[in-house]
Amino acid sequence: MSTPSAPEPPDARDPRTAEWLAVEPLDRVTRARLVRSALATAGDASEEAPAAAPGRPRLARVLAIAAALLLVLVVGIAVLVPRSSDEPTPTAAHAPSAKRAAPDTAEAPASDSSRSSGATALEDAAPTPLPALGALGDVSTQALLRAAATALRDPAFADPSFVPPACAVEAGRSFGTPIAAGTGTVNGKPATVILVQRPDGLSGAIAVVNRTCRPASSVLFP
Amino acid sequence: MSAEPAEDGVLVDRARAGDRRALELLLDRHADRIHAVCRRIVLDPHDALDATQEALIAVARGITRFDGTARFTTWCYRVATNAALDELRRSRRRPVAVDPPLAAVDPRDGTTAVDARLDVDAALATLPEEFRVAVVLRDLCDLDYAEIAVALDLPPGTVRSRIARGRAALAAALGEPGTSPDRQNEDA
Repeated sequence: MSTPSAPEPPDARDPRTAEWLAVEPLDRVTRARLVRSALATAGDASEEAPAAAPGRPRLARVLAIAAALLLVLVVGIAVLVPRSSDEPTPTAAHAPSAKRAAPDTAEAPASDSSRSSGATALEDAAPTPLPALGALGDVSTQALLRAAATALRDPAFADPSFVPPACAVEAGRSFGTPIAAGTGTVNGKPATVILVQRPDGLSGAIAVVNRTCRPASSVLFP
Repeated sequence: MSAEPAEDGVLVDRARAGDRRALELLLDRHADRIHAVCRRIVLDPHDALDATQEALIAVARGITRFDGTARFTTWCYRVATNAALDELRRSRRRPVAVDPPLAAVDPRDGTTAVDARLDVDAALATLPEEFRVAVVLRDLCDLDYAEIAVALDLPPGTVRSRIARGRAALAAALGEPGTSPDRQNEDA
């Protein structure tokens, strides 16, 4: 009756407890959303995504970046020099970049290189307004964002005239369908809060710093 | 069986070199494990999703600092544990509870799969946080005692006693016979 087999090692995993603790895997949509949002928020962790050439040597990457910067500089000079001499209207210069920002949605928050350099994201506002939910104050942490976003869902605050920055709306789209927006601050910097509705029935909110277009925090709630 | 760690290693190298697609594959591959740790430490499903999000962000941001001395999976678990503990602290300061507390569920009257999940949640909620974390890292994540000691910055003896006591408390809360009582003394 007693044990002829070797005694269990003292540090062994307890299979019964492991069975109790097992957790169902995330559904595909939620996992993809979490990953995409993490990549967008981490942003600067990987500046460029050379998926087609994963093993490219570092020197080649540096040269490619340098060449791209040089190209941007040359094109910038070519565009700005003639315009500054005989074209007084500055709005024309903004039109192409605003159009460029509109079509792509999913990867937009991560592509910092395509953002306007130095200018605030508020300059290239989305053409479609969202119901505005006013100033939400400090949304630097998830707890603050959650509290603010919970209040956000009160339709009494709605003001249809608010046009949030395009990049904030894009960041919201990577998270769900944007349904409302408000303003706030992240560590004292002006930010936009986008409230989204997700296909799985959950709501979410994402705070995006206006100047950098970078998502600062996000929350989900039922 | 050894293909997956090797593949992790390749992806880690590529991600550290700035390959965003490799980083995405890594995050996607480990998201379930990270979520499982967060879910069992935080308990609240929505807070667990928040913690998972923070952990994935931390992995994405910290991948260039991952030096390969530990397994990538072990490092992910450590990041997930820290994110889950941070989320627990934040949730304690939160003024409004979104969901009813799980502790209200009687852990012994469930029969369906959902009830069983609630049982475990309710039972885990009765465990002190430090016991819960230790048991999760050992029995869910399969980290060895040394890895847990490093992850939690604790002496191995303390890890051992917390795991033993946590298992026994969990078994008792679930109405099961406890684990070996000879390992249930806290040794510092």
